[in-house]
Amino acid sequence: MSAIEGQSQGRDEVEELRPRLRAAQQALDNARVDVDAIVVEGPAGPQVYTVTNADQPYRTIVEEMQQGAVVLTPRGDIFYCNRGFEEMVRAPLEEIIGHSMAEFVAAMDGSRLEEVGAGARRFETVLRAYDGTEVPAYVTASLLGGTPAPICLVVTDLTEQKRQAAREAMFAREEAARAEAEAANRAKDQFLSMLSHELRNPVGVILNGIEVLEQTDSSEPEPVKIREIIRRQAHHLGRLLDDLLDLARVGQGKVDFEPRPLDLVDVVSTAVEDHRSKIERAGISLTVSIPQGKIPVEGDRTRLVQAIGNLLDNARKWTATGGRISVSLQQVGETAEMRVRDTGIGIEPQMRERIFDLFWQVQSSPDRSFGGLGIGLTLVRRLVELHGGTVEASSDGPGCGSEFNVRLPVTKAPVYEEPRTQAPLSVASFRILLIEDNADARDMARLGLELLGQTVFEAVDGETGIQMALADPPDAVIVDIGLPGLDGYEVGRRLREALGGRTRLVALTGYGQREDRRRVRDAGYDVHLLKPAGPADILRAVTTEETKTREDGGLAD
Amino acid sequence: MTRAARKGPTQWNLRLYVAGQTPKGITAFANLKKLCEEHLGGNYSIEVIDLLKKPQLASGDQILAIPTLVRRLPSPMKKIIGDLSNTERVLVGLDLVRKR
Repeated sequence: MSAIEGQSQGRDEVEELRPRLRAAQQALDNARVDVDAIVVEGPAGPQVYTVTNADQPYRTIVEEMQQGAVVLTPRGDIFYCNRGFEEMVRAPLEEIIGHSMAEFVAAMDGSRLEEVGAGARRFETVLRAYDGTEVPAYVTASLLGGTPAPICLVVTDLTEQKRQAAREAMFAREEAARAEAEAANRAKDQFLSMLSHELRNPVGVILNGIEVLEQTDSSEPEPVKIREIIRRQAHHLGRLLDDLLDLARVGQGKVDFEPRPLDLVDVVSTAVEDHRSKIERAGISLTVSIPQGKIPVEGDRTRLVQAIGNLLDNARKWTATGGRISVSLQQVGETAEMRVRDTGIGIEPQMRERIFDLFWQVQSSPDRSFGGLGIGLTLVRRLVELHGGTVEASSDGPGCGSEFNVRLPVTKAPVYEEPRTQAPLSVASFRILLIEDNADARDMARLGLELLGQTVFEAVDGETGIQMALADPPDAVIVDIGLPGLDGYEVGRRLREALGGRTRLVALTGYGQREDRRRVRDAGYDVHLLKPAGPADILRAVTTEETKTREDGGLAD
Repeated sequence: MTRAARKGPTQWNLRLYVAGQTPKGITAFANLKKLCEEHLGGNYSIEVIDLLKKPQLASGDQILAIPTLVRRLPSPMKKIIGDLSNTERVLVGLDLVRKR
């Protein structure tokens, strides 16, 4: 008979019980029944004596530990669970004991339990608490002794772990976001410093050139070259500023975009011809493949020419002498597809989309032989998207050239033939009154107009100008809208009232939005001229029949 | 003896007394569950009473040996000692035997 270990008892009590135990054992032996333990009436009530080892320390550990412990029959019914498991599933004991383990597992089915053949199995799963909430858990399953063998589960609640992991993931995301924001900020700072550098260069050259001109006798050959240089730099500066302005306007959605039916074939041809000489001067061959007929699209002609021009410029910049650029255009179903291909330095795969990002530019190398602000491609994408199209870049890799694909929706509307040439300058001489408060601007305008054979009178403010106009009515009045005191709009109204329809009124203004043009028109002006406007522009405004307002006051030719 | 089903749905109330997670206790429980499902449909409830936790509960049903199964309902009360592996003996003991 195996030794009987009882629960803690005083020595005397044990002595007293020994005979009783012996009697009970005897009775059981006689009954030949398999039991684990017997109940003996002791002085303090019934006492249970287990036949096999009670393992009190282990029992305490199991009851006290934080993990859950469950004993299951081979079929998965819960025979026993510790307090840890009770608390994990937050169920009263009577709802656990006797119930199937499957009731408490959201993600596991009985077959998993059957898998617990030889040895312990470990797996992650999701428990279902009594109130239906889910508890992520890690389970170790092992077989206890006996046949058929019961299954013992040790269950670890992973809720806190998962929460911690989620927190860490969130921190990581925030870190990444912060890093990205910092990178963007750095990029912006780089852009601004590059911008400053780019703008200072042409300005510096121009100022130098002027100084040299002042020193040099104008009959020498040098002044001619210097004037050329100044002109080129001024135009370059103008283009930089145009780009910047465009970018700002397109970015804010403020661009005046009046889509009209256009012929894309014509637009592409124009852009190509505008850039042909520059490309060929760089020693790059240019081939063009465009269809004979028309491809109608809805859009703004100037903007589209600008976008295509930027793509050509981009191709030219990144292709070495001896290289090739090809432009193709075709209509495929309802889409117009334009392709600009070059044999230049190509694009790394991961950069294909990033090259359209603002402030991004290939290599901030000290040798900035190409200049520019790196916004050309951004503008292209924004303008193309404004037209309902897409632009994508592709390349076989660095050194293998690049290809830019533009897709635009084809419309069914008829196409107008837009007159491409501007009205030729008149050679007649007019009497022009110039009302401008800025001395330099006024002097330059007067000088320019006089060189074109015009007679110019000046007034520094609105009041004086009106008086002069009434005293001696001119053929045209040029008014700077931003006058101090009596503003340009009021001047316009009074002049129109006083002079009637014979005199041409031209408003010179830095504000080009639709709203501004309306105000100008309402004030009585015939023409809205966007600054900066050179003498030729002013003269054209004075003489041309068309009173349509010019939308783009570009500096570049 | 008629089966419980023929009498209509009688609710069986069964109590299994065990002493901790001893092998025979677990076996008794497993056997009991199987038996109930096969013979009682859903009309039963099983209470498992761990006398190691609450030895004083032994007095109520006068438990001497563990494991012991007590049928409290339907009356009369029946007691079966052991791990219930001998199904025939258990069925007899619980009056669940088919009429031969």
